This record gives sequence, structure tokens and C-alpha cells, in this order.
Amino acid sequence: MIVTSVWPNGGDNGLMSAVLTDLPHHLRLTAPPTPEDLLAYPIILTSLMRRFGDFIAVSSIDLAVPKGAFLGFLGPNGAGKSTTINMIIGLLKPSKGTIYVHGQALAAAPLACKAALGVIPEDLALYDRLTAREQIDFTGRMFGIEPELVAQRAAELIALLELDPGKYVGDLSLGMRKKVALASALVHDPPVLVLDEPFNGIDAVSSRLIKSILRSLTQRGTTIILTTHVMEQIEALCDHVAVIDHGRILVSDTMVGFRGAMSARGYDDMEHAFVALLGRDEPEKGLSWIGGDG
Amino acid sequence: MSVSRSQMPDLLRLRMRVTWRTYTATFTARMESLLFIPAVLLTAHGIQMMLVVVLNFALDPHVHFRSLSISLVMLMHVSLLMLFAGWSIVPALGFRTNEAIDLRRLQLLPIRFPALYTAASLGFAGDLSTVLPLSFCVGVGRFLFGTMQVTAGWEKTPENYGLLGLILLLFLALLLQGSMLTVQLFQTLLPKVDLTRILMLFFVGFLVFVVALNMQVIEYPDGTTLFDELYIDRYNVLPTGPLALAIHELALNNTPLVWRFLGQGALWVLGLAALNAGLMWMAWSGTFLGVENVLNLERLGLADVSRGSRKGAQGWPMWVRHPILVVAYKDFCNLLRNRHFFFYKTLPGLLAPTTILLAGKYNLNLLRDQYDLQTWFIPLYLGLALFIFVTQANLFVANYFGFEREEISALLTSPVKRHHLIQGKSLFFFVILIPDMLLIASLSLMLLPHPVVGHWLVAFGFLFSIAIILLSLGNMSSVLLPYFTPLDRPVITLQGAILVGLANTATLVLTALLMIPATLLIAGPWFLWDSPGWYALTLPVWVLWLTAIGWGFTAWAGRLMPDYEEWIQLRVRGVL
Repeated sequence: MIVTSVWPNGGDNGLMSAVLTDLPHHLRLTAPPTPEDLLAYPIILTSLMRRFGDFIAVSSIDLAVPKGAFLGFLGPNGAGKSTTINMIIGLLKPSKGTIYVHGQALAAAPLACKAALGVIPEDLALYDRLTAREQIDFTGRMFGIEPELVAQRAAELIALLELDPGKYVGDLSLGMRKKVALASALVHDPPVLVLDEPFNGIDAVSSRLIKSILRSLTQRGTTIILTTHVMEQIEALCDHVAVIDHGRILVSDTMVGFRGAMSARGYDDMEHAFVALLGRDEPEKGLSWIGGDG
Repeated sequence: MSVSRSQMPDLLRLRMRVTWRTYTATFTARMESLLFIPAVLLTAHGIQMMLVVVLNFALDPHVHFRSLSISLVMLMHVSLLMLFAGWSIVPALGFRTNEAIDLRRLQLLPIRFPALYTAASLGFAGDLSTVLPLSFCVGVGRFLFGTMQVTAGWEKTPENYGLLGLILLLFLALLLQGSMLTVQLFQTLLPKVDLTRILMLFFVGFLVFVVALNMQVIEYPDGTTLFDELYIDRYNVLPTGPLALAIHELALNNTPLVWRFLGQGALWVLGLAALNAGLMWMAWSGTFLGVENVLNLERLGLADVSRGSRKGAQGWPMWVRHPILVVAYKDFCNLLRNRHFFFYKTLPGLLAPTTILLAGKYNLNLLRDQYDLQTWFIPLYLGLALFIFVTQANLFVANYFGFEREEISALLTSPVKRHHLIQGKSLFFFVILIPDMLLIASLSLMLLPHPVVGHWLVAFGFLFSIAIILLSLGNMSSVLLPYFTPLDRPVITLQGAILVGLANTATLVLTALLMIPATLLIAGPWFLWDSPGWYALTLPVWVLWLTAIGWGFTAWAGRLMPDYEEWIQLRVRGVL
């Protein structure tokens, strides 16, 4: 693995809005991944691009997520986060570039790659009329786990997450549904987890429990990609961070490196740093009819 | 805040602009719109034919009403026609008007009700999807003019055409206002009543009653004689028949018979209304007027948790291992527990074709000894029956496979081969559809005892068995596309629409081609002996209709794509 330090410089297609330059540790592979890279980085994106007609949603993304990393994947609305995630989990075919999941190219071995992924999609993708237990059964068996083992793990997950096994998923609150989705994502013990806004609607108690589970997973080597708009969650959980805007990765780094670089530029808190990075660190505006400056 | 001016012009402009952009935003959109027009027109033609044939033969003044004056017959005829057409069209139109103007959003605005109401009434006109229900009016117009020609000796003059146009316009306006009022009344007066359950229970009871009548377990006093006089074998399935007979008896001062016929007509109306309730309310599904909202069905469904949970909490049986079985079992649990799906999709899909076949049977019996029409009417009837059955079945197919919306990602992110996913979905589907097909075929054979018809029904059962399998496969290909091109194809591209349409049409043409030798083999001798020319003429019509269905459903099924709504938004915003 070759780590280079190539910093965003404003972009060459006029799309990038970042005003900060020379940020340290923009991580990417500069050569095709070697077998060692494939082992060390469960998720590798090389020159990933996706267009819809003339609209380029994702433009030449390079990213390598180390094994056991907890990556916070950040970006404003419409930046290309969902498009990138959908490509990683196999729902969207890239227009260009390659995705490696758990050592294999997604295009060449889609089933093997999918087997290595546990996903909580933004819309959760749960079946309303299955019970929580049945939903876990369904996912486990679809991932080829023996029913007996699924039953054993389902019982543990249900107990740990304090789920009501007999309630229909459609009858659960958003927070409980998220927990069912998490249980479904974990039941096949995937080496890579992709979590899209997993903490929305989750109460503080459950949130704490889930964070604890996720931390223990990364400690035993599970790689996690987390998308969220809540900066505090990124700060509390993630040890790596990548920021995307206008379909391009503006920076990808360890959390320590990112904080240090931003702190050196006078941005001490995550939210402020994020807004500055996007080039939208403008003076506060107001509305004329409610006494603002405008 | 205050609103001092009328927002209606703004509302209309907004509605028209959004509609126009939806259909013209891009080259692809324009081409799709153009493709949709022939599909709508051809399907509308089929509906017109159906209406004209059914109504004409349900209520023929020359047969039933020899004792009445021709003007009274005509008045009664037209009135009943309007009643029947209104009954048929009002619910669908009501939904269309409400959906088209998006009342959910507009009701959040500080707009007075009359402005909202008027804008909703007028604003729907720009929506192409509202054209289809309105084709009933064209059918009504055709029938009305034919009736006037026969009964009043009208001539095809410009003045008469103008008058007819005005009558239809008035009729349309009445339907529209009636539709809006119906929707509003449902919302206001019946917010908590589980009307679906009541009507379905009533229908079951009524079905038992009718079977008992026809099996002569229950005697209908004086009925047989009267029906014999009127050349009616049994009890007319269409509500207009008994109601017309009631009026006839009223004119003859036979009061007891008036009440009997009125009662019978009311029963038929309620029975059919119950049967069609699912279809009507299906149209409202997803709106704030949907059954699940108005009647709290979803909540009722979820209240079943206590019953379902004890078993569901224990998980699935261990033998459900293979992905095909897992997918099929998932659908078994998820869909069969879904009352919404059951009432809106499954039940109408299974029962409505049977009703239509029964209606056709009674009309055929009504006519069989009166006219020398069998040579062309029977194939036409079979064509109509096939048309309706296939339409219903394909709606069912498309609804079923389109049921996976955002949940489709749960299937597509799992490491299961695509053909296993589709085989799993198909397994559950055919478990439901095949018994239905056999049931309807059996009913048709049992309930159509006329020698010629019986002979034909052998062919018919065979033919529609072939047709339904092939057509289902064809339409499945439309709605299965998401399984092959998940979010990757967020568009019904022109290329995609053409490919799917061609695949569908090819399947339909194959069906038609298969029908020719099969028909000739089984029923051909009768036709060749009697009137081969008519048969030859009916085949192209069948093919045309079936092709129209194929195109129509291709366009329609595209709307079930998981990300269609998102794509529409992107297209309207000009991103795509």
C-alpha cells in the first residue's frame, strides 16, 4: 500500500467548492492494489465514477479503508454519499472504476462481495409483516447461514438489543426498526459493515448500546463505514474520516490527522471544520422580516 | 397572516406546469408520452367495446319492453345507463381528481374549500392518466347515439352530434362533481367504519343466497314464469336488468313484483359493489383517502400481532433453507398477513374475473334464443372475457412483483443468485395464481351449459390457460427488470421502454399465434362449418387488444420501479 499526500487544490472541473488546501493525509492507492493491499484494506475504491446521463454524481473517487477502521463518510446533501454507498453495496453499477470488497472485485465476484457486507440502508429495507425474529431469520438464511446457527444468533441479538421477537416490524418505532436492521446486518457476522444514518430516531440508551457494539466490532477487526450528518457521532465513534462534495473526496484521513490539520487552521470543532472544508464558512445570514441583516 | 386574493389561477397554472414538465422535460420523456398515447387509445377502445356490448345486451328494449312506448323505453334505458356508468366510474374518477391535484399538499395551504374544490375539478384534466377512466364516457356516447338511432330514429346530423356532445359534457361534469363529493363524503362520514369488512361479509352472504337460488334450494315465487316470458334463463347479474324490470312492472302496476325486482337489483348492486370495493379503493391506496388511512386498516392489521406474534417469535421452520424457499416463504408471511394487499390486490385480482365471466354467461343466456347472433357474439364474448381476465390477472402479477419497493435492496444486497430470487418470487405467485386459474376455468365450464358455449368453453379454458401463463411471463418481464438492473437503471429510458415493450409484444404475439392452431384444433370445425369469416375477423382484434394491453402495462409497470419517484423528481428538476 502506498499512501500519498495529495491535497485538494480546488479541483480541475470547476465542481469542487473546498477552499482549504494542503490538508495532510489524503489517503489513496496510487497503484493497482497488490494482494497485500487487498488483505489490509477491505474496501478499496479506485477511480470510481458514476454518471446519470450528463450529470456526474460521483467523479473519480479513490479511497482505501483499512481493516478495523471506523470510517465516518461525510458530505452535504447531494454530495454523492448515497451514490457511492449504493455502488459499494452492489445496488448501483459504476460508470467507471473498480470496487474491491474484502479482497475481491465487486464486478467479478458480486456474490462473494455481498456475502462480506452487512448493510443498514437509509430506508432500512425491512418487511413490515415479518416479525423481528423472522426478519433476522430471513436475512441470515439469505446469507447462507445454517438455520440452526441463525436461530442461535437471533436469540442473542434479540436479547442484547432488547427487541420484541414477536412484533411485526411495521408495528415498531423507528428506533426499534433500526435495531432490527442492525440485528439483520450483524447476523451473518460480516467483516464489513456499511451503516447509513443508523442513529436517526434512536433513543440515548439504545444509541449508547449500539455504539458499544460497533466499537467492539472494530476492535475485533470489523471494518465499518458510517454516514451521518451528526458531527458529534463522527467525533465520538470514528477513527477515520472522508469528506465528499460534488462527487469528489475532499479529504480522507485518520481522525487524529484531520483534527490536527483543521486545528492548525483555527477550526477546533468538527462542525466548523466541516463547513469550512466545504467552502461555506460564510457570515451568518438572516431574514429581513425577522430582524436579520439581509 | 392573511390571504387576500384567489389562489385558484395559481393552482391551475402550477398543476398544468408540473404535468407538462413531467411529460416533456426531456427527449426521453416526450417519447414515452408519445408511446403512452396509443396504449391509452387502444385500451380505451377496448373499454368502449366492453361497455357497449355489455349494456346493449343487458337491456334491449325490443326484447323486454314490448308493452311500453318507445320514448318511455328510451328514457328508462338512458337513465339506467347513466346510473350504471356513474356507479362504475365515480370512484375511479374521484380518486383521479384528488390524486391529480395532490390534495394532501394543497390542504396544508390556507385556501378556501371552494377554490380547492374547483381547482381539483379542473386541474386534473392535464394529467394523462385521467384520460383512461374518461374513456367510459366515450363508450357511453357511442352507446347513447346507437340507442337514439334505434329507438327514436335519430339521424347522423351535425345538430344531433352537437346535442349528443352537450349531453356527454353535462354527464361528465356531473360525474366529476359526483366523484369529488363521493370522496369528500367518504372522508367525512365514514372515517372509522370498517366498510370493507362489512361489504365483504355481505358479499359472502349474498353469494350463498345466489347459489341457493340457482340451485333451487330457495324458491323464488312467480319468478320462473316471468323470467320465461322475458326469455331470461335465471337471474340477470347486471344491476340494470332487475331495476329495469322493476320499472317495467311499475308501469304495469304490478307492485309486488316491483319490490321484488328492486330488492334483487339492490342485492346485485351491493354484491358487485362489495366485490369491486377492493378495486375502487385500490385506486385510493397511498392517498390520505386510502382504506388504510380512512378505515385504520393498517392499525387493525397490526392489532393482529398478539395472534401472529407467538408463532412469529419462534422464527421460521428449519426446512426453509434454500434461497428460493426463503424468498417464497418471506412473501408467504409478508403478503398473506397484509390486509391492505389482500383487499386491494389479491381479492379483486382473484374474484373480479369470475364476476365478469358470470355476467357474460347471463347475458349470453338472455340472448341465446332471441337473435341469430351467436356466430359473432360468442367469439366477441370470449374475446371480452379473455381481455378482462388477462387484464385483471396481469394487474395482479404487476402488483405482486412490484410489491418490492425499497425492500428490494434487502434482496439485492444479499449474496443470492438473481435467478434464485426470481424463482422464489415466482414460486409464491404461482401457488396463488394457478388455483385461481383452475377455479375460474372450472366455473366457466360449469356455469355455461349452452351446447355451443360449452363446446367453446373447452377451447376457451385451454386458450386462456395458455394465454395467462404466457402473458404473465411477459408482464413479469416488465416488472422484473429492477431485479436485473437495480438502481442502475433509475429511468424508464426510451431504449428500456422499447425493449420491454417489444419483449411484451413478442410474448403477446406468440400467445395469439398459439391461439390460432389451438382454436382451430378444438373449435375450428364449428366455425368452419358455420361462419368462418367472422372468426377470421376476430383474431386481429384479439391481437390488437392484447398488444395494447402489453404496451399499456409496460408503461404502467414502469411506474413500479423502486426509484421511479426519485427519477421523476430529478427529471422535473432538469437534472436528468
